[in-house]
Amino acid sequence: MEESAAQQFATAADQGQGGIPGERAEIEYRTVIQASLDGFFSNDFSGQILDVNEALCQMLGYTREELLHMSIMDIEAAESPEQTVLHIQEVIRTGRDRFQTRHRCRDGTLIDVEVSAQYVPEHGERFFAFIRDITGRRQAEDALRRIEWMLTERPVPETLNIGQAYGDLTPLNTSRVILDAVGQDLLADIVGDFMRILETSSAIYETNGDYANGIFASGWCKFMDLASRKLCSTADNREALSCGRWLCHESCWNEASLQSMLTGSPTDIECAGGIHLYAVPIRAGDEIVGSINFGYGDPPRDAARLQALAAKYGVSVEELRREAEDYETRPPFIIELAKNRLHVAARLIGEIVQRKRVEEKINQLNAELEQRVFRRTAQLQEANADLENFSYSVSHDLRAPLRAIDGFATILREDYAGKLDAEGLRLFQVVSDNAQKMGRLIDDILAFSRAGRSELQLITLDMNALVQQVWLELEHQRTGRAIEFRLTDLPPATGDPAVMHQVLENLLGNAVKFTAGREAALIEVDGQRHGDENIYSIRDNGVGFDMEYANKLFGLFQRLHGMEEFEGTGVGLAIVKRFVIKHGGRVWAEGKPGAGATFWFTLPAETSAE
Amino acid sequence: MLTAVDILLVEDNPTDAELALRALKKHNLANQVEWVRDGAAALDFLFRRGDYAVREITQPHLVLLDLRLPKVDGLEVLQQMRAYEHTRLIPVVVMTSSGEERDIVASYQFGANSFVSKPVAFEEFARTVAELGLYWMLVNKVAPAGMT
Repeated sequence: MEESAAQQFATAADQGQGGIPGERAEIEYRTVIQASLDGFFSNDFSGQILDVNEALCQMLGYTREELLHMSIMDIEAAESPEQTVLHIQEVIRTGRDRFQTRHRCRDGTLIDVEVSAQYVPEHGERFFAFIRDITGRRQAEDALRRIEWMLTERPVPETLNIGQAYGDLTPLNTSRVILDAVGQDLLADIVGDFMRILETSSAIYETNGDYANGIFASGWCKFMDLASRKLCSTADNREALSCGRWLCHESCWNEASLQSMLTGSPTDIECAGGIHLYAVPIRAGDEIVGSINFGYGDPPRDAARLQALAAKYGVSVEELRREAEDYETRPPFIIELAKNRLHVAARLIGEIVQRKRVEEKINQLNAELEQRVFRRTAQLQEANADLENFSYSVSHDLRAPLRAIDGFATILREDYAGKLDAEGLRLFQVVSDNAQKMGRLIDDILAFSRAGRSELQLITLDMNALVQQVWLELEHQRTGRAIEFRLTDLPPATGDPAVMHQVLENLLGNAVKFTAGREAALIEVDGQRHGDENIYSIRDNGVGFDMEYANKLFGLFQRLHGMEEFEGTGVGLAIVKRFVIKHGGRVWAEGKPGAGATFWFTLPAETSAE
Repeated sequence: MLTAVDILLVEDNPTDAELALRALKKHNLANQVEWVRDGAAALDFLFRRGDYAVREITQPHLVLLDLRLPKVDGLEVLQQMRAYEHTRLIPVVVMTSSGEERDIVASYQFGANSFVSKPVAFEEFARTVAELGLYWMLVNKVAPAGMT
């Protein structure tokens, strides 16, 4: 190994040959570099370190011996070896260079340094360089910028400059879970909440990486994103997103948001574009449905990193430097505040997605329910129509043969009276009677069936007037009878007048019928209001009935008395029950054989009338 | 077919027709009754078409019309009668086995003069037919336009 000039000086000095000019120069040289507060090294053209001073050893934490076996590439932390070679060539060409970079200390910490290198061809193939630790100055400068940012009064931007030249990526969204649930406007508002503070960039992703929202609020992010978009060399955004060369998109999605979704926790990384990204997963209930992130931090300002970024993004260092200088440094607490807001934003979006899902579920259930109701209604309507056709046929077709039976039996009795004996005439009379009875039965069945189908027309009913009217109409059934009729003042009810007329006619008709044998027949009608309903009663002192059969009383065709005793088809009380229930009321009865019967029914009181 | 007809009985059920004719006969109203068995025949008679193209020009004084009829139903017959001047004012009594409200409403809407539900009991039925015949034939004054 060729001896360096310094070593030659040193050797001469050690031999105690003072007084010669070279010796004095060596002493001066060594005094100067040892006295310097800045670090010092000299190196050859390959980067091999030839000499160092104590200050450099202190600065980097290496011993002099260690450093003398190292290359400047070993301590360089910002430049690649290729860049360092370029740097060396630059110094050879111009004779000197001053630049800022970063050095790596023995313990791995990085320090910002300012390097001043000198090359004098007369001194052989080597440089002299002073290294100044500017980490403290850097920090002070950063702190000053943050203070400046805080002190500068600025209007909160009303609208964020969000667009990019390549257009909006959200129309490419095929997932649309977040986009559709929250909507573009609200997403922009949510993102704006922290973007106005940071002025960097923000993205909201669906689980498949599609964009629900994308904002570029700072010149830096906008510039870097657009530059890396150009690297894709395609006009088609879809193609660009999948080509892998869109560096900002790759950082944003693959390195930040996708990671946050995979780990289920916040992801904080350095991004390709020279700043940082913070991503938070978005949860709807227990499920991760996407991720939201933002960029933060200062763009690099040192030449080496700017140069590296410029090379990677294919842009000029000058432009990058301008963009970097334009960005206003945010104090750390502002970034923490923005991070908190990002968490809130993620929760807000997740909550909206979740609510939307629940809402959709409810809507779906409602739609299904409606569909079911619709189907059931259609079935009911069909059944009702069938029933109506059936009763129409019954009323029409069954009556005609009955009329023929009765008619021709009568003709026989009239035209052949002379040829028939008394028994023959009686038998034809029985035929006629039964045909007529069946006719009444058919009429009653039809009335009962109509009772179920008719729509109620509810009004306020004057029950006193209605009872009196029905009582008068029963006159011909009461002919020749002495019946005491007592009517107390009845409270008005809500009901259908025609329907309730029928109910009262059946109940009062029964009372008249079943008191037929009584010498002093008594019929009492009473009514009381109880809260929202009225309870009416019709009491008679007729034949009564056995409570054992009370449950059969209101059944269709149920009769508790023999045909010879009392006429009837067993339909009247069934109709009463049907009509009262249709009004939302109840009906019941009490009786005792030979001691009369009481029928109660309830109706909604007058006040509930609409 | 050339004699004038007083009553046109439109009835598809021969038993009902026989009972009606018997009731009319009892009151001497059956002499000039024409009985047709379906709505098409009723219209042919009233508009003097088909089998009735050469009948006496005078229109009946009363039509007793059943509703459920083969070929053309009673309501259709009624509608057509009310649509033409020559038949517009002939009294029509609808007689049907059903007492269904929809039949009653439709009959009056289409211009029936009366609606009668045929009772099952023959005596009642006979009395009803006879009263109708008497009323419309003897008591009621027929509008002059009913004649051609």
